[in-house]
Amino acid sequence: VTRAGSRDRSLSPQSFEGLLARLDPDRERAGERYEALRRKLLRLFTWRGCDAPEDLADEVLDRVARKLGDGADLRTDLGGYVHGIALNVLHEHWRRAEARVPVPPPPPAPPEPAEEVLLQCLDECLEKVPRESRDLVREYHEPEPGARIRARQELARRLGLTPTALRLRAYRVRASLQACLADCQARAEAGRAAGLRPETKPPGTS
Amino acid sequence: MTVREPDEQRRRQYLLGALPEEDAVRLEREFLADDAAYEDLVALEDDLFHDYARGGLTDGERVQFERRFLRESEGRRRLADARRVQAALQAPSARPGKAVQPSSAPWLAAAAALLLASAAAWWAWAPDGPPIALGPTPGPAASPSPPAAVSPSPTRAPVITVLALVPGLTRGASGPRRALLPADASVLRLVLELPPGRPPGPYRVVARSAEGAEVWSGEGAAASGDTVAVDVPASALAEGDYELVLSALSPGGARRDLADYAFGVLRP
Repeated sequence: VTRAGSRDRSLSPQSFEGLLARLDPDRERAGERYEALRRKLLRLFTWRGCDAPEDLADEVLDRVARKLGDGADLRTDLGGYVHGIALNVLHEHWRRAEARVPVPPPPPAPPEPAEEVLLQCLDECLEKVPRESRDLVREYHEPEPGARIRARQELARRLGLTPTALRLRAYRVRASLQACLADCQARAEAGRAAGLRPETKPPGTS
Repeated sequence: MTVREPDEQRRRQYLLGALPEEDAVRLEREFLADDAAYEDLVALEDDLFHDYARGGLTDGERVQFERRFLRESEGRRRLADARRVQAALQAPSARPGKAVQPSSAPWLAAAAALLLASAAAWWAWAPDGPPIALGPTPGPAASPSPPAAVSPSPTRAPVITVLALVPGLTRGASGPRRALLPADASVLRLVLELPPGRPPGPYRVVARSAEGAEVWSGEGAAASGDTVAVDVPASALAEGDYELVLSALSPGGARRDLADYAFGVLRP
């Protein structure tokens, strides 16, 4: 685990090691917990509408590590302490944002994949998703808001799942399909860049 | 009326930036301490992207979602991903198990058209980005709906430029999103993202110049998923900015305005 992107240059390696040790005595598990905590903070700042969540998450972790290095006793409720620091960083960010001049526009999006690639990848990836999973997510995303809520409740009841378990199942199906599409397109584009045709199967084979 | 689980409602409001501060603080403490609560929020956030892509958010939620998630390129990228997945999932469930060649799978072509439109819509979010010119595309490219008012030449395939528009959201500091129409362009295909809760169609579209003069109108376009495509003859569009009004037509012929869009045309 490293402090990539950290803004606090005054943070000593000892302080950082102190935070890891506080998270878990085992160095490897401490690293995992650090990354998990960083992911949560990153999402927290995203959900609070911040435009540089990585920087803010690193700022929080740096401050917590420095406090530990200064001898703060955080044996109980580290999560609560981290959250308190996160709220301070959030409020400081909001104050800065109020005074900020307009930011330049975001960089242009990458070019969209070619239609041929999309068609092949849609086909390839759908093959990998069991029909029941496809049906589940299709039913889950009933487009009308009122009907959607009822449909999800009915679906959860039918499958014997809690609403949360159903949500996680739908999420995993979508995530696997999304990862497949991204991977397929990357492979096809790479093949194209290398002068190859995007993955095609000879006629008569499957 | 079905009421959403109170806790789910609370978490959705948090993600959409609509939860009172005191409740937001409590919820954050909860998910910082509890991995399961965090994972559920991540899944719920993903739900929002997919619900938005399917037009499944209420009007209020949609506006909150756009403010919260679509200001940054990362959010727009995630929305494009969600649209891609939804387009794939909305394929007919009776699809044969064997791989289908693209040319023999019209739903795949429609899905791909939707995805390309999504990619274009992503561009359209950047208020000051370069002009959009997804094309020219030779020939009548796969379209989710038949052209509204285009008569392709029998001897030469039309050159089509595609521009995707989002209702009411395309005006940035430097004006609306613009399409660069090459000299040989035949058609500007506008792929309009439909507002939630709209009637199924048919739709009427009217394009007006910045001065308010009607430059083109078309009827009969039908929705495909969350979008409707209309083809405007390039000859009707001089360089400039335009507004476009999408209306629903009732069987009795009455018209109800559904959404406004803004776009611009550049000529080389």
